[in-house]
Amino acid sequence: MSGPGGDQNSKSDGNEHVALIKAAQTAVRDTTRLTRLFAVLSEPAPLELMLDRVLSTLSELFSADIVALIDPAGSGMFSPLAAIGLPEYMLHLPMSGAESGCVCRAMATRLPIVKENVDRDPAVEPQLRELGVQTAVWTPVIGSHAARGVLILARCLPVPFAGTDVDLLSAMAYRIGLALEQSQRSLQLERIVKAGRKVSSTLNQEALFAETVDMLPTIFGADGAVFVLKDSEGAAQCVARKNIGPEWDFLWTQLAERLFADTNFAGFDPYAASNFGDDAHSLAIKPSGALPVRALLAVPVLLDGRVQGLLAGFRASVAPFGPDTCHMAMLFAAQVSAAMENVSLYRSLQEELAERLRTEDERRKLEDRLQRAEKMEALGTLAGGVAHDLNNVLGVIVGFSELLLYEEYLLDDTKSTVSEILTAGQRAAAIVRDLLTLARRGIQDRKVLNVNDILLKCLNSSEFESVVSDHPHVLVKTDLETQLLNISASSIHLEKSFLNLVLNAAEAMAGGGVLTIRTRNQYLDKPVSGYDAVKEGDYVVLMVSDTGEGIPAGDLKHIFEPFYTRKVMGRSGTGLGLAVVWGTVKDHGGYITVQSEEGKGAAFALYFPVTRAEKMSEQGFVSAAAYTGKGETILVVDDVKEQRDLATALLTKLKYNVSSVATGEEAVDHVKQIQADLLVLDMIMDPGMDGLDTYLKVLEIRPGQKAIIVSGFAETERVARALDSGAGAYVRKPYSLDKLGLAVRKELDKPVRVAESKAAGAKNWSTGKRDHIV
Amino acid sequence: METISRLKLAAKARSCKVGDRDRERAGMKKEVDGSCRKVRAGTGMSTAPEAARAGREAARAALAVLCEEPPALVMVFTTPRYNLAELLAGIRSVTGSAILIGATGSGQIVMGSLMGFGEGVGVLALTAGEYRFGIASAANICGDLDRAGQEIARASLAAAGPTPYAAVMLLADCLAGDLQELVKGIYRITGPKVPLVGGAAGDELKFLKTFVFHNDTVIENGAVALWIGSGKPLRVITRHGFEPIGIPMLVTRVEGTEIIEIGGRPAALAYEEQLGLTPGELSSERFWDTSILHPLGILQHDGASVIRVARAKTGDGRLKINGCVPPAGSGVQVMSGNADTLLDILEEVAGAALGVDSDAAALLVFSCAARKVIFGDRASEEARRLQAAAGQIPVFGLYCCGEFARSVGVSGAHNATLTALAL
Repeated sequence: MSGPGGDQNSKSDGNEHVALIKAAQTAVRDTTRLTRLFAVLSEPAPLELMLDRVLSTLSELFSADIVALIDPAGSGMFSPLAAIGLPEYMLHLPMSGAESGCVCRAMATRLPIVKENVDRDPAVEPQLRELGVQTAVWTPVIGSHAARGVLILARCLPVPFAGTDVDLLSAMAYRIGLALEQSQRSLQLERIVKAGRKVSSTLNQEALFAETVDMLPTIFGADGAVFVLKDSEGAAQCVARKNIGPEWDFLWTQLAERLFADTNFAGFDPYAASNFGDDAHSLAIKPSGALPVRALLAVPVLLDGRVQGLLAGFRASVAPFGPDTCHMAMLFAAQVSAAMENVSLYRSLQEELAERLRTEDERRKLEDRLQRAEKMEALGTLAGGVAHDLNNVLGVIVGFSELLLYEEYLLDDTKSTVSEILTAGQRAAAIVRDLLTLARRGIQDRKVLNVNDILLKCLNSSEFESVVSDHPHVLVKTDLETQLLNISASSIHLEKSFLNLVLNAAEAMAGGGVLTIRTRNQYLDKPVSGYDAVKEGDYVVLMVSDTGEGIPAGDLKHIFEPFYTRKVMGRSGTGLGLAVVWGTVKDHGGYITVQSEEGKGAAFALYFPVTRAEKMSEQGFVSAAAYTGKGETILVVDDVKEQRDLATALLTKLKYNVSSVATGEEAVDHVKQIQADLLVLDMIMDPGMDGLDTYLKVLEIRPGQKAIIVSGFAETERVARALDSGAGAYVRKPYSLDKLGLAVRKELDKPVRVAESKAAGAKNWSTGKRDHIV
Repeated sequence: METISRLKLAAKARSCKVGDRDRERAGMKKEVDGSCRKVRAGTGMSTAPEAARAGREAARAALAVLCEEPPALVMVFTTPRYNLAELLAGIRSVTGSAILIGATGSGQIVMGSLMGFGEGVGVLALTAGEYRFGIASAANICGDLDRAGQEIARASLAAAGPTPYAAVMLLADCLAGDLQELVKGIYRITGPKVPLVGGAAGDELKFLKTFVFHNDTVIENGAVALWIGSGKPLRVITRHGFEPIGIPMLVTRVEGTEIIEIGGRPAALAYEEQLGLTPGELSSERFWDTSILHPLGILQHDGASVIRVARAKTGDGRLKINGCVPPAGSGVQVMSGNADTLLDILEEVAGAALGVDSDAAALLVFSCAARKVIFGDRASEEARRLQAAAGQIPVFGLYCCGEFARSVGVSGAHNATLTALAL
């Protein structure tokens, strides 16, 4: 080789010069390698580009035909993370993950492996042999903690890698490992942040579970994922999984049970295994069949500061999860824990909100009903107040009319007139009863009856005839349940209600239409909410529907209010028709629903609770002899003179010896002096003691004193107490001669009983049944 | 007259008389039916001033040698002075739909003759024989050479189909950028078993516009790859003829296509020092005459050097490099050579290339325009000596502005180098 300027040196000097040059070349070459590689590693670039530059540089610097970087700890795969010299079709093929393979051995031993005659070595990756590789070196890539992968350099010429080459490669591999670690750490952090945002915005539990296992493989660098949580009883349950079937759930629950009991895991240390099959035995877990899991990483999931579950990522290869991945996994698990708390809070909020809305709705409905009831109550109170005075007046009219009819001297014409007075008085009394029904203060004479019987009676009544004749274009249809069950009800009130409904229906079909009357048995297995809230139970339903003008939606909630009507006053009677219907239904413990559409008609359905008791036979005509007196003494106590006079007259007629007083106090004084066989006590006497107080006082003086109660109001609690205390019957005003007579006779005919207790309201006086006559 | 004599000379090399045509055809047919399908190669050239005519003449001459066997591959190396589209049309009017690959350059080698600047066009026609050819090209490759290399390698492989062995011939625009990236892109697809040969198209050292050809398409700022699928191994031979002088040095700073510092000192300074010159002694005007004989050699692992020619120096001591600049951290040594040393490698190259395949039909060579400059008046000697070494096998080549030759590892871009492949 000629030197600069072409001077020739002596042969020995030339040889020495050559040797020096060669040494310099070697030194520069080695420096070059390090310098070039460090320069590439220090340039900020995305990981993929950086690795490509590094491997190209290595290929050039070491005359390597193939340079491949395997990073199983990071990527979880044995296919090259980056490669130069591998044909495109080989890039995604895994280099051998077998433990005996050069890759795994280099990672396990953390020592480079150098081979010649590679084409004949079966331990070498088949890809390398296929490409005609002659010599190769596997250098472990070690990060800051452990071997994470292998750098493979291979030559297709039989030029071995020198020891200095291998040393240099080891140094370079370490630098590559650090750079890889740093880059992948940034990438993982980025993924964690994204994953955290996603899970924290999920407010549905199932969606959270699904998203967690969906994201976990990317974060862990895993092939699949599993999410296990403790259920309400503390047992482990697999709540979500990815890339593994439910037939392996037993494996995860067993693992979870073991880990939950492990103090390290409970102390928030992750569990990692590079070959789970080996560990499974030590954990006393018995997998059956070919286990699809090799490397495994499980991290605890905390709730309320305690381990309540685990997240596991697994790989089908033995590529272990590195320490960095463990840290990232713990971070992710913490995010998932926080997200679960969010979901729980959100659910609680939702439930509370729903409850509040439900309560609000219920409150509104109750308020509506209360308002209606209060309105009705107020109206009823007003009506009741009127009714009380009216009843007394009517009582006189009806009573004395009746008496007059007994007089033999009356001419027929006069009798007829008196009879009409009586009828009118009775009719007025009926209206008063309506008012009292409205006021919910009317006790009905309840009997076990069949609604169909009542309806048939009504359909044959003169009132119904009158409705039909007044509305000739209305067609009446009936559809009555043949096996209709019985109810406990007042026949008069049912009749009244039915006729009111029929009248309303007919009047709604001014131009004609169809009036349908139906009955049926109805079992409600859940409450029905409508105009009224109908509870579940057995009912007899009476339905009256028409095809008339219908009720506007705005009027529907008012139709049962007294005097609320759109009809012309006069045709609808008093305007209390539907109010009476409503009151009747309520008195019978029933419900009423209305459906209507303007222009198409209306349908009323009355629900009456069923009774399983049998009907009693109709009570027949009772002769006067059954209630004629035998000279017994009766004391009438009533603050109203006319009532006193009436009662006295009627009872005298019935051959009793009658005295009367105006107040309870007088009655007490009277019985102190004179014993009466029976007291006829008015309940409400104002001012002073009422009927109950009077009776109790009398009982102190005359234990066992017989009495009946009379009143113009429905049975009240005080009447009930009086009856419980020993009073024989309650007779409602206005009463007829026979009703009063029967009650008196019946009581007088009872044997005398000695009171077991003088305490007011003692129920042991009662036979358990109260007799009362309306 | 001169044109016709050249045609006759070309035809003579592989003559096929009319009277012998039937016999020849029968012989060819026998060879085709036999287990060994022999490749036939014919070359032609034309200096006709008009492009289409030049194309037709050169193509006819090349085909004449094939004894009416249709060509499977046509190579075209030409001066850039022609209307290239017309040139290709003229050629294709004779060669038909055979695959056509080619480039403009800084001279052509055709059957021992050198076609200098502006002279004309050379055409090589090959029958398929055992080879399978696939061609692909990419335009606008500047800026994403790696991806372009992958694309053309992938597409040309797909066109040729799989074979036990293969090689890739690459022609690319020398002005497109760092062509080593193009080589790397191709390497990603080929892997180490497929050697690479070729050159960067030139424009007779004007460095303005260069072109490559894909069938009837003329491509600027592009690359074209020919996948040569073979049933036997193919080998690329590379030599340059320079020897290292001075001491190895470290490139410490580079920028773009300029070496800024060598060994921590201004690159030009370090360079001149190695030549025994005082700093600044080498003027910018004289620089090229010196640097062409004393290029830089990038030290390789096996002791060889990859040549990089500095074509100029700047006022602040930077060296402008032709082609791929050595990366910072590279070890370099100043090389030295002359016409003799550069020509002395020819027989070795031809012999080594043809030694791989005793049945080779043609010897493809890619030499560097810088070598031609160094040869000076002896420029035609390279063509002549190569042909002499090849014997009856036609030598066909191009003077490029950068050569491609990848045999080991990913490196494959060279300067001032001769590379050869026998087909």
